[in-house]
Amino acid sequence: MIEPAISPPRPIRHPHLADRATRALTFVVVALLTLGLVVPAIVIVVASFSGTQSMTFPPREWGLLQYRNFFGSSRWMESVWTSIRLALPASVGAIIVGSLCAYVVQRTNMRFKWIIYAVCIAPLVIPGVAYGVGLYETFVRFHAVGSPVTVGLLYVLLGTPYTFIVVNTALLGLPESLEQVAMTMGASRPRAVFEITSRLALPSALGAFLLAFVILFDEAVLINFVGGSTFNTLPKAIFDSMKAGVDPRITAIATILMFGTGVLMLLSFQLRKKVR
Amino acid sequence: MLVLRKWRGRPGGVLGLLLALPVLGLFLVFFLLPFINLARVGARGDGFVANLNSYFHSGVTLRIFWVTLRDCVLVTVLSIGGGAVLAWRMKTSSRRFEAPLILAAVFIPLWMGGLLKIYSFIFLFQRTGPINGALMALGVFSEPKHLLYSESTIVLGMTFQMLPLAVAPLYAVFSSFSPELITAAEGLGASRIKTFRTVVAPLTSIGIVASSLLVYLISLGFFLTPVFLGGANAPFTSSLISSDLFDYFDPPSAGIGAILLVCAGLVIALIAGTVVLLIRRSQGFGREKSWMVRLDDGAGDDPAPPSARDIDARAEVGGVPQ
Repeated sequence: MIEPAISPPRPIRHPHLADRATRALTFVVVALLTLGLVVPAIVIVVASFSGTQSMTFPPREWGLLQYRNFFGSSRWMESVWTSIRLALPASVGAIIVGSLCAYVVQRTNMRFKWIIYAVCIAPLVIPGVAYGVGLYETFVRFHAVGSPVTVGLLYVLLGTPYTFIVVNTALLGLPESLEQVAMTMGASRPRAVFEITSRLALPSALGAFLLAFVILFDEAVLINFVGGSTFNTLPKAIFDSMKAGVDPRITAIATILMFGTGVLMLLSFQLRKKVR
Repeated sequence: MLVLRKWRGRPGGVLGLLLALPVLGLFLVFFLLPFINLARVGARGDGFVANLNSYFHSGVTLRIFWVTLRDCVLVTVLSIGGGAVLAWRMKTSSRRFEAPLILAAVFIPLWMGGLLKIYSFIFLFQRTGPINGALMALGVFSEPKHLLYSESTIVLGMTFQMLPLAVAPLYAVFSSFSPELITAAEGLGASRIKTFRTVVAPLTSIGIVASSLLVYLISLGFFLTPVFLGGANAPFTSSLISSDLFDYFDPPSAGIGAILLVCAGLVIALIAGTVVLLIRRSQGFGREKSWMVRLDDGAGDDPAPPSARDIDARAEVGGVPQ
């Protein structure tokens, strides 16, 4: 993913003063930005190990109080379970739909392929609030607010752009001739696709599945509009709790989510690189 | 035993359409239909124009809309600026650990998810939080101040969220041209700044416009950040929309606000498209790739290689043998 950087044969001495100044300035800016990006995360992780309910930082006492409060609360655990119950099937749906779209784009002669690209990009660039209001109105009309099936289908659509992009890239790297060779040897097209192309693209598909799962698990905007009062996913529970104040338990939740998401994303990245 | 099957090179359009039916169906029900309903809810009651008028009846909503647009532009400028610096450094740093370090710094906030990033901001900036503590220790304030719930905090929070998202497309933009062009320019004597001005800027301008458009559209839709970091002190149109819908039970106003945001997005997209068109026109609309270098000034083919007689003639005169 990172291409080789430009490495000069020996250190560049920039004769122009303006260049030296710019380079120094750039270094400072990069350092500040990098620190600024990471500091909130570090603060939260450290704060999650505070042993008291007070919000002082650095914590006066250390301990696993926040984690115990989180795992001990049935309300929070239930919201985690709801999130998993929603995101897992939706990710499965998203990977299926996304793979189909990728196959259509890469391996068929359909004429209006750009429509698929547009369909996949559109949910990402539409202002979330506007989308939410429209969804709310639609769901109310069909009495579907808070209904698991419809929310699940919505999540499939939300996850499809990500799976489509990943599987599309994977199929781009797989030469089409592999399928055709199999067919010259007598396999039917479905068999060739199923046994060859999909096997080779499997690591990428798994990576896409993990990516979609992470994204859908964390989805916090639209669920407020279509979830109703009963559909309590973890992000919605965090949202409600944040409206009421600053709950220190959320530092523990944040740390767990950060590490869990990080692990899943790294795994997904490694899988995606394994396309032969 | 050979089984002979009839097959074509690629499946035709019909199969493609069939396979694409799931996504098209989902799109129809969960995307197009909501937007149709959005238009309908905006027109509910007295009709669209009347609702629009009553929405802007007090100058407040207009001012909020203006503030939203202006702050989104600010966030875009900051995110693209910072993201460009980071992406450039990632692409061109000569130390081995620097690029992965920046990459990690960019990714770790992403792993927190949008809502938790906002939470971390609230945690940092609250009255008993670390920032107030640090500033008091440095003697800037004598008592903790209310740093949250202001417009600047919203802008800072949104930039914090958009910066990682801006780095990826910018990195792709900076990877789209050959780095040897820069080496060539500097070898010809240009300073780094001049190289940027004359080589990098024209090549990346379109990509930067596209990335900016993406960042702007996404930030228009942010409603969690303005709600939590702005509160009632610094409302955005997006927080207004959500409170219209859920607190005041006024769907038409929410619809009008949402339609306004979408239109603002469309207008900016059109402007961006025009800008891109103008840039391409000034660069000659060429289909040349950035890595192509013109070997001549377009006058004609390379001159014929010197013949044997010319070489002998030159050798007699004492020129350099070819």
